[in-house]
Amino acid sequence: MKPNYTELFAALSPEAALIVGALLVVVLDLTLGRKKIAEARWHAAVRIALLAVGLAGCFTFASGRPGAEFGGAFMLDALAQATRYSVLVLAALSLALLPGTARMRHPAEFVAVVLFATAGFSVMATAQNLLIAFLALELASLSLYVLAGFDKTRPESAEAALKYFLFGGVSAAFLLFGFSLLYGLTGSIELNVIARELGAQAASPLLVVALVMVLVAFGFKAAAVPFHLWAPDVYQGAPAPAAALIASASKVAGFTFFARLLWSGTGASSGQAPAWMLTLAILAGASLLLGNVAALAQRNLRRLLAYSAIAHAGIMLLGVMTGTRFGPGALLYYTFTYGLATVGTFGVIAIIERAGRCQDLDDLAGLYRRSPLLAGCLLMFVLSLAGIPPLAGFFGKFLLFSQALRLTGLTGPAGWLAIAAIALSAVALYYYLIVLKRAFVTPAVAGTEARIAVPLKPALALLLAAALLLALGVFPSSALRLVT
Amino acid sequence: MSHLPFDPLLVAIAAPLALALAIALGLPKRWSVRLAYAGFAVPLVMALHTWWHFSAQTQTAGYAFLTNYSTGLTGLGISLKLGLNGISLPLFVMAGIVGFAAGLYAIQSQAERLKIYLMLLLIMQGGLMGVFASVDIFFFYFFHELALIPTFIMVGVWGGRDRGYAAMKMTIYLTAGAMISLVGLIALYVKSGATTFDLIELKRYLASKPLSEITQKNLFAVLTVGFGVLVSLWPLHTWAPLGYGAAPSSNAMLHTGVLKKFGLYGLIQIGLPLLPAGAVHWAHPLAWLAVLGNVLIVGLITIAQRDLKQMLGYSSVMHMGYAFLGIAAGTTLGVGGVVLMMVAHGLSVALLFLLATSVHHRTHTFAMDEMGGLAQKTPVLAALFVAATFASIGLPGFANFWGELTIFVALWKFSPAITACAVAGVVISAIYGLRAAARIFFGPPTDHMTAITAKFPPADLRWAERIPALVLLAALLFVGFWPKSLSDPINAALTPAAKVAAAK
Repeated sequence: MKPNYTELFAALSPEAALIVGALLVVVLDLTLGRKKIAEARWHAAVRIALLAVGLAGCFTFASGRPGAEFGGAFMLDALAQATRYSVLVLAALSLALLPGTARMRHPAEFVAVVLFATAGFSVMATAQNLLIAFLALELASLSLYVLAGFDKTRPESAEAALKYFLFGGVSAAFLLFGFSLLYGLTGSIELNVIARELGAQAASPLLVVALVMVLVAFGFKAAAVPFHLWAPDVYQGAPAPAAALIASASKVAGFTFFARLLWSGTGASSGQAPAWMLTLAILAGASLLLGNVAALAQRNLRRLLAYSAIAHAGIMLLGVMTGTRFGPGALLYYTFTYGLATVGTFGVIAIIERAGRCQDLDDLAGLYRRSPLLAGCLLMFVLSLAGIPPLAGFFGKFLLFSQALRLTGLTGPAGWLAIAAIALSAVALYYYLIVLKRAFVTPAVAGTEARIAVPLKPALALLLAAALLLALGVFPSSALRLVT
Repeated sequence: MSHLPFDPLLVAIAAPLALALAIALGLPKRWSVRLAYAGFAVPLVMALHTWWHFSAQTQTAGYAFLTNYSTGLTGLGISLKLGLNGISLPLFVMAGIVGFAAGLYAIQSQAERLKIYLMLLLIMQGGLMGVFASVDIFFFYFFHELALIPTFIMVGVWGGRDRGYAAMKMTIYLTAGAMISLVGLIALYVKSGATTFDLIELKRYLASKPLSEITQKNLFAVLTVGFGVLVSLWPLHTWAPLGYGAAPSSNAMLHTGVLKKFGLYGLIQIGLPLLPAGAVHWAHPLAWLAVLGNVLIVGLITIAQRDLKQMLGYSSVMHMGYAFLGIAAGTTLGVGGVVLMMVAHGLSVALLFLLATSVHHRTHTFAMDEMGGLAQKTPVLAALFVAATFASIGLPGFANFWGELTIFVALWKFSPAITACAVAGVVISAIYGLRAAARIFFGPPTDHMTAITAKFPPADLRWAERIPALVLLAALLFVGFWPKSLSDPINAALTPAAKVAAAK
C-alpha cells in the first residue's frame, strides 16, 4: 500500500502542534528569554505551551474523520478522540498550575518536556500498531522520568525519578518482550490482524506468557498491586505539577492504550471470557484492598494520594473488564474525572507550597482561614475522589459499578469486586475526610496563619477543574456522548 | 390541572440550588440574604400549591405532576422523572414547611459567615425537595447525598461542642449507611432485569415478574440495614444524638426533621411494594429490634439526659422506633400511620430544635439542671415549647397523635405483645418531655440562672424567631385537626401496595 503522507499529517496534526510548540518554547527561551527574570520566562513558556495545547485541541476537533489511518497504524475512533481531548485538558491544567508555583530553574525545558509527554499520551491514544504504541509509550514515559527528577534542589525528587525510571524501564522491557511474542504468534504488529490471527488459533502457553508480560507492564503503568511500589515515592518526591501530570494525563492515556490492546488485540482470543479477565480481577481486588487500607495509615498527604490512586486503579481495572461488553464510556469517564480531581488536588498542594511546606496532612491545618478559595476547591476535588454526588466522581463510580454488577451478575468475579469496591469506598471516605477535616476544622499551627496568595492562572485552572467536575457530575451524558 | 406555566416540582428543587450557585459565584452578602428569603419561600409555595391541587390532578399510576426530563442516559434507564404520589406528597409539603422555617431561623441567627451558611442550607433544601419529588431511584439517591454533604460541613465548621468528632462520626455512619443502601438499590436494579431506575416502570415490571423469595429477603435485609443506619435504627443510632447535639440549629432542624426520613421513605416507597416477601419475612425481627431497642432502651436513655439538645436527639431516635413498627405491621393503616408520623415528627422535632437554640441564647447553657424559672421572663417561648412538647408526646390536637394512634391500632393486629411495649414508650416520652419543660421554664431559678439573668436579662422571643416557630406549630395543628387532608392521598397510594403484601 502506498502511504499517504497528507492524510497522516492531518491525522497527527495535534501531536505536530505539540511538538512544534515544545521546540518553540525552548528556542524562544534560549534566544529572547536569556536576559529576562525567571518569573517572566515561566510565564512566557507557559503561555506558548497553552497556545500549543489549545491548537492541538482545535486540530483534534478538525481531524475528526473516523477510521483507520495510514494503513491501520493509527485509529481515529471515538475512544481515541475523547482520550486526546481528556489528555489535552489535563495537560493544560497541569501547565496552568506552573507559573509561580514551581521554583525550579530551566522553565523552558520543563514546559517543553511536558509538551513532549503530552504528545506521547496523544499518540498512545490513537496507536493501533504495536511498534508505534511502544514508541509513544516510551516518549511519554521518558518525559515523565525527567519531570519527576526536575527539582534538583531536593534529594527526594532525584529518588523519585530513579525509582520511577528503574521500575518503568523494567516494565518497558517486559512489554517489549510480550509484544515480540505476540508478533511471533501472529506474524503481525497490527492490532486487528493480531486479533484475527489469535481468534483463529487455539490458546497456547506462549500466548499466556505474552499476556502476562503485557499485564505486568499494564500493572506498572496503572500502579496496580503488586506493581505499585513506585507510586508513593514518586508522588511524594516529584515536583507538584509533574506529579499532577503523572497522576492524571498519564493514567488516562495508559488506560486507553492498554484497554485498546486487551479489548481489540487479544480480547477475541478465547471467546466469551478473555483469558486475561481473571488476572485483571485479581490485580483489581488486590489494588482496592491494599490501596484503601494503606492510605488509612498515611500521615503524608502526597503518599495518601498515591495510595488512593492505587485504590482508584483497582476500580479502573474493573472498568477495563466491563468495557468488553459495555464499551469504553465508563472507563474513560472515570479516568478523566479522576484525573481532573487529582490535578486539582496537586494544584492546591503546589500553591500551598509556595507559601511554605505541604507534605504532611498537618500542613493543611487552618487552610480554610488561610485561603477559602483553596479550601473550597480542595473540598470539591476530594469529595469527587470520594465519590460524593453531585460531583463527577460519584457518577463515574455509579456507572462502573452498575455495569460490573450486570457483567457477571452479583456473584461473578466482577460483581464481587464491585461490592468490595463499594464497601471500600466507605473506608476511603474516612481518609478523604481526614484531609478535609485538617483543612476545615483544625486551626492553623502557630506561625503559619498567614493568608496564602493565589496567582491568577493557577486559580483559574483550579476553578475550571472544579467547575468541570460539577458540570460533568450533573450532566454526565455530555461527556459520555463523546465516546459512544 | 395546576394552571402553572412551569413544573412546580422542578422549580421547587431548582430555585434553592440556583440561588446557592449564585452565592457561590460571588453574590454580595446583602443580596444573598435578601434573596435567601425567596430561596426558602419558593419551595414552600410550590409545595403548598401541589398539596392544594393534588386531588384535582390527572394521575398516572398514582402519581400526579409527572414530568420526565431526559438526561441522555436512557441506555442505563436513568432519567430525571419528577412526580408526587400520596406517600411523597405529605413529605414534600413537610420538607417545604420545615425548610422555610429553618431558613428563616438561619437568616436571623447572625451566624458567622452567614452567606456560606445560607448557601449550604439552600443546597440542603434543594436536595430535600428533590428526594421526595424523584420517581427515579437514581435521582432519589443522588438528591439525598446532595443534601447530606452540607450537613457534614455545617456540623464541622459551625457546630458546637465536640464538633470535629461529631462531624467525623456522623459522616462515617451516614455514608456507610448510604453506601449499603446504594448496594441494595443497584442490586435491585440488576436483579430485576428491567434495566430501568424508574420506580413506576419497576413496579409494573416486578408485578408481572416478581423476584424470587430468597432474593427479596436478601435485598430487603440489605436495604433495611442501609436505610436503618440513616434512620438511626437501634443499635446503629449512636451517631444521631451526638451529631444533633453538635449541629447548628437550622441544620439540625432540616436533618432530623426531613433528611432522616429518607430511609423510612425509601423502605415504604421502594422496599414494601417491590419486595413484599422480604418485608413479611423480616417484619418480626425488625419490630422487636425497634420496640426493645429504639423505643424502650433509647427511651430510658433519653430520660437520663441532662443536656437539652442531646435529649432531643435521643427522643428523635426513639420516635423512629414507632416508624419501624408501623412498617413492620405492613398494613395500609400501619404504613399510612408511619407517613403521617413522619410528617408530624418532622414538624415537631424541628420546632423543638429551634426553640432549644432560642432557649440557649437566653440561658447560655444546654444543661437542664442549671436552668429554671424562664417562663416568667419569656412567656411566649415557654408556651411554644410546652406546645411542641405536647405535640411530641402525641397529645390529641396535634398531628403526632394521629400518626401514633394509627400505628398502635395497626400494630395490635400484628402482635399485641409488641404493642404493649410500644405503648409504654408513650409514658416514657411523657416523662422526659414534661420534665424538660418543667426544668427549663418552671420552678425557682437556679444559682446559675440568676447569675446569667443578672448579666444578660433575657428577652422574650423576637418576631424573627416567632414566625418560623409559629409556621411549624400552625402546620402541626392543621394536620392535627384535619388529618384527612393528608390521610386521603396516603390511603389512596398505599391500598394497592398493602394488598400485595397481604396476599403473600
